[in-house]
Amino acid sequence: MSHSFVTVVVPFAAGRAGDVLTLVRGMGNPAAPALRTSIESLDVVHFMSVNVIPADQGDRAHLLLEMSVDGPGEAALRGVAVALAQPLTDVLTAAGYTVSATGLPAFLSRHSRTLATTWYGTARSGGALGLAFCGSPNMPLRRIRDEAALGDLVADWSDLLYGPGPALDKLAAVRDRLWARGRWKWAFDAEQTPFLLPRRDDTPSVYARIFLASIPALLWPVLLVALLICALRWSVLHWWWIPSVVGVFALLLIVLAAVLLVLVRRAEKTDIPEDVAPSPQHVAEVMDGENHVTLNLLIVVTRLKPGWLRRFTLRAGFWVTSAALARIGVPGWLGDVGVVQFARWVLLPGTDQLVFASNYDGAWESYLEDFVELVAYGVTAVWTNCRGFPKTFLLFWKGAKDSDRFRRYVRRYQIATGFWYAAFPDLTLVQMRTNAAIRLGIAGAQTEQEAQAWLDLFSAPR
Amino acid sequence: MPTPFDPSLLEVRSFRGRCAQWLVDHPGFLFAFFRAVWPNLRVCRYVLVTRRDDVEDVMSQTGAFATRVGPRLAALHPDYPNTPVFGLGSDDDGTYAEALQAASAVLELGDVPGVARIARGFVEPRLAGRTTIDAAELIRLTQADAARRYFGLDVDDAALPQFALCGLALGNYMFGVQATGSDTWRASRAAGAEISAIMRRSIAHAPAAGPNTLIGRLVASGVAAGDIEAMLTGFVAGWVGGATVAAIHALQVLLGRSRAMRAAREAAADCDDAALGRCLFEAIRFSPIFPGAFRDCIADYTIAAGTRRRCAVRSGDVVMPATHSAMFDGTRVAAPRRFDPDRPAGDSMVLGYGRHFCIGHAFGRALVVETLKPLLHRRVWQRRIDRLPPAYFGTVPLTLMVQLR
Repeated sequence: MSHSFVTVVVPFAAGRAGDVLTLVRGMGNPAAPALRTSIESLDVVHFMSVNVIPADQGDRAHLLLEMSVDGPGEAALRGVAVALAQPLTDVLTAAGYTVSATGLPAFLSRHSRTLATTWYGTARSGGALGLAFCGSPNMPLRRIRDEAALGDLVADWSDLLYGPGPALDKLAAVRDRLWARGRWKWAFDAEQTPFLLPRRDDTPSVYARIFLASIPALLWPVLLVALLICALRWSVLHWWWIPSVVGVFALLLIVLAAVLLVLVRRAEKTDIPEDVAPSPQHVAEVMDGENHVTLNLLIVVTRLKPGWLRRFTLRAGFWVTSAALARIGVPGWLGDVGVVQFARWVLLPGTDQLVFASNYDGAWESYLEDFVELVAYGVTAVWTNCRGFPKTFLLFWKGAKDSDRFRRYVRRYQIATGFWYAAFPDLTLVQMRTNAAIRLGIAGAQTEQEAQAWLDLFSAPR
Repeated sequence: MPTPFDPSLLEVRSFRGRCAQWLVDHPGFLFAFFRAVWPNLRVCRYVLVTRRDDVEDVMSQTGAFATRVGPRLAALHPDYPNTPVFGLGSDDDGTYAEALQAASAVLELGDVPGVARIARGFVEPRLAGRTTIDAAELIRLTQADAARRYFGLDVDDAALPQFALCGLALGNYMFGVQATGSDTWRASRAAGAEISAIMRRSIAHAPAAGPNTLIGRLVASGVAAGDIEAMLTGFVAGWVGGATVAAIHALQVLLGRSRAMRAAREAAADCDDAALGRCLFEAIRFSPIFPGAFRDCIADYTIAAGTRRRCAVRSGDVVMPATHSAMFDGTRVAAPRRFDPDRPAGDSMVLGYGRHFCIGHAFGRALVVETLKPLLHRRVWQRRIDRLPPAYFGTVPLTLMVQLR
């Protein structure tokens, strides 16, 4: 089952932000028990947060509701609008909107944004420039819950798991006991588990495919120009017409890339990184919302640098990142980082505010450490387009590698979490992968080596 | 007096029928077209679902889509309406859990090696000294023989071919795509009645069947005769019907793909049953037991809601989640057209998906492997002239002549 990323952006008068924020925080971080129960009853919501994005320039603040859900986002949004009708209508009333409980689903749907990286995707109604990432692809709530229960159950069978004897016999004994209990038949069916797949290599053919995919997504205006030039210059009936288009297209791309590089380098040289430490009050407020459970939410609101160039490079960075994640590495992993459960970047429509919202495992410090050590180039490619980010080189290099400045930068622009819900607040991706591997072993391990690898899954404490 | 089973009603010999059968056997190009252009195709009240996401969604929504297996099995046993095993094909949570408990208590995983030995013991002597053999018949009889011995059925050698055809017809009735009320459907019902008669006879002779047979166990544990009959009829449909089709399709795919055949032969030569199983079930992915199982919509539902391919389905509509198509959906399965025995097991849906994942999967795997392994050991191949079978029985060739080295 696929996941959907619901992103609702509601602008409101900045003067009301204080009242709205008070109500949003009243909903709880983590979610208040009553609200938690209501959301749980829908059985589709992995993560949900409601936050107030303060006005940066002008007089418009934004209410940002983001959810990561199983199946279609539209249906989940309707469900949430019903389940959380009272608190959400209260928040919207404080924001200056008069919305009844019955009109809430339509209201939220109207303000819902579909994240996209292509020209068409962001230009159409309801589109917004953004990028979504899922760390647990093809893992619906039901499956996560069932596999966790399976892992806990089997881990308790120490009489079967430990002691002398071939691993295959132990696995067979576990299978027999599980099978005899009847209701665990599903565990014998190996479902698709993308985050356990082997790494996909970044071969030249993969890069070629990414380039080809970029033509309909991003580069088609250049192709149109190439077609126009060739149509004006030569008759389309000549055999060399198509090779000419390819040649002119390639030439235009080279020129465009060279111009972009020059412009980017010139811009990078004049960039001024911020060396301002976040205030202790701000850090205290932000940290107050962290580490209540094993998982955390990070919300960072930054401002784009002015000019068309940065909007273009941001779009290109988003597109390249999403294309690379879809084809290279392990699905569900951000490069070598395997602790991000659901994350998204979104450029708030009509503003230059870029919001990063990430539901991750563990503590803020280790998460940032992962960013610096493992995916600095990816983070840099996006935040290089924002004001105050550490100096970068050709979009991808340096930047986040300047780790002290980078940490200060993130803390400074991080906002304290308002309302946050996590379906499994203490279940990390590592545990989720272990549970999935236990299930896959039961379903399919056939050799002694596979059975031994399966037994090893129980060596770490649960 | 029920109509006697007439196998000829299920035989397809006409040119038109064989063309239609070819299309059912090779729907890949049509599915590819629909996945790209019209992922959820509606024709009147029938909806064909072809994308993996949507197929999984339909098969997971047990509250909106009901299988036909339970009602069809129950229709064969009107005298035993309360038999729990019908719940295996049910979408009601309580009934299903009860049936699953009952069935898994009977089908013990520890029996799988014994069943594999039975199959091996049946196939190997029949290949000795042969250079040509009808593989379809061999496969049918092997599954039927394993079923009669393991279940403890009162079927003698002379009646075994008829029992095999009955089982195949019953599988067709339970899982196939035939229309209710058609000739083939009536013939399949008659096959079911014939199998019921065998069951009753076998239950009456249960002590003779021995304690190691299913009937012996069930009778000894005090299960009512009606429940045993209903349960084992369902098992025969999956066992003889399902495993026969799977093994024949696997062999056909191997015969048509030299790389696949080479991989399977190597695994067989190495006596690596795990690798051979992977080869054979990867082959079945290319020609699954059936292209998909019909679901009756029992509550209004929107497939792929919120997407451009959304399709509203109303109660009373009939939906076919095409598992065959789903296994070739490039958005969810890496290099779907490539024969890759090492692909993740989760890519395959040949044994079903979700709640109705095959309950006899472990037996099915062992049967397919043990049936085909001796043929692969003998470097089975097929003459070009034998590639077009003279007739089909349901969804499989009635005969499949192969050469052995």
